[in-house]
Amino acid sequence: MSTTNPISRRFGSAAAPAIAAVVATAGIAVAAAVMGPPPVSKEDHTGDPVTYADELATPRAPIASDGTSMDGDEAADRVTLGLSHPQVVRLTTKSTPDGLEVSVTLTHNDDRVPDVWVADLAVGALAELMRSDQDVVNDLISTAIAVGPGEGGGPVTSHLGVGAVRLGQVFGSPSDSSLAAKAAEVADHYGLELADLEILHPLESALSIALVVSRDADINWTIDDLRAALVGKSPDVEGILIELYDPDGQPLLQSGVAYRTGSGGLWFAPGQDERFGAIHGGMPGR
Amino acid sequence: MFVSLPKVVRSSLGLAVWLIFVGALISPVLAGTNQSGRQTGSSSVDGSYARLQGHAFHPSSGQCVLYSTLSADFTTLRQIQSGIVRCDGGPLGGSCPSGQVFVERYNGASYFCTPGYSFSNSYQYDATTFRNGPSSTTFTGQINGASLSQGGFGLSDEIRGLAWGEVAGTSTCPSSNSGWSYVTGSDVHQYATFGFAGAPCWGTITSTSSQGAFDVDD
Repeated sequence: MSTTNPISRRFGSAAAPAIAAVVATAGIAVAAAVMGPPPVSKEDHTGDPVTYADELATPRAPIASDGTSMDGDEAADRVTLGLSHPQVVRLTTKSTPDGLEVSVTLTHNDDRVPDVWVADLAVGALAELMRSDQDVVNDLISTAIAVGPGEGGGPVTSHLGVGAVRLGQVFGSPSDSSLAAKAAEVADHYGLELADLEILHPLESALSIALVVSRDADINWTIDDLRAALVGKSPDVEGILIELYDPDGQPLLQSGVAYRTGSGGLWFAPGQDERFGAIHGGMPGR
Repeated sequence: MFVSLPKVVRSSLGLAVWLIFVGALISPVLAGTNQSGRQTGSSSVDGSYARLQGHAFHPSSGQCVLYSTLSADFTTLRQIQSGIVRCDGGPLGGSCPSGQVFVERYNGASYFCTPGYSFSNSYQYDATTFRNGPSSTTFTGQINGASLSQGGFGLSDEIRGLAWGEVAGTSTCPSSNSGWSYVTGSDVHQYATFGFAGAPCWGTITSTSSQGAFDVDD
């Protein structure tokens, strides 16, 4: 076993048959002094990447109209135009030996779920337009950030998640009118008031929906149930942002998912994660 | 019995500087999460590493079960967590599916999750978290194709590393388990370190290495 590159390796265990009852084994070691980033070799990755959509593009080729991948500037312009989101100012890319570094400039950024979500949508669409022979989005994009002034006026940087997600996903988004009709139908079914609906078009469609939860609501569903009802278990959109409010307009929960990068964000008011079955890793003791 | 061995991480001074931790930390049911694991004795660490080997761990309906290593800043409330997760129900954080490795960051208010490649039973995966540089306030987590960073960690805050198991999504135990067991061994930092109390919920945790490794038996 290597002692210099502990990252992203998978090791077979000859002892495995003898410990079938063992759930997981973990050892922890922590350096007291400064640690720099360990080297990462993409070739070390094992297993399957994530595919959210039902379909993958065939052939596995760039989706630009002329059959070639776009360069960074061209793709950035295309995505910015397609999104037409007032918060997204520009996208920039920089080629490095490890892959593309992408920066999304926002008019404002407080590292909140909606801020990160819209930037994630932009990064995912950009990757799709720039892909050539890559299979997975983080084989193309090594890092991505969103930057913009925060509430205090100073710059805030959000580190965006670029996961092991297949490029070339085809979501088959229905028309805007169909998405809107489905949103209204689902809101009614769940006893929610549809307060706001926005449909974005990074490449296909993405849904941003705000719903009001009545004071006497009996919540016998989870946020994952609601998301699946809106866009399907295999989503038919590139991303969805769900914001739940109480009747006074106070936010209860925000859940944003960008399916081209695999990034998911979750915020909740105290106790609302349990109320809506929002699953997240916990900070110890929290 | 398999024993996970920690690895040497070299410091910027070229010295093999080590702290190896054996800590037990068990919380009550909080925010629908049952948690247990080992935390570092030191409160000024710059990273953590755990080798994770999943076997047949099964969440109940509506739950995710996850094992991870994490660095947590208990002063500014920041966290970066790398691990493996299985779910029966919704994905972790809305986007990290069952059976994939993941990295999740917490910025003091919101959680953000990103998935890596799938994991298989009986194989070992190296999960790490680390400070990006000597004066950096950003930590990065990595595991098998997933990488994510979180800023806002202090340079002199209370920062601990943990090897961690959780049940998330409901406040009930996985159906096959009836209770947690406490880690034992030398230099154990009991859950009371953070003032936690309450009934834990897990299988049997056994200390298998004086250097900090442990097994969770279902």
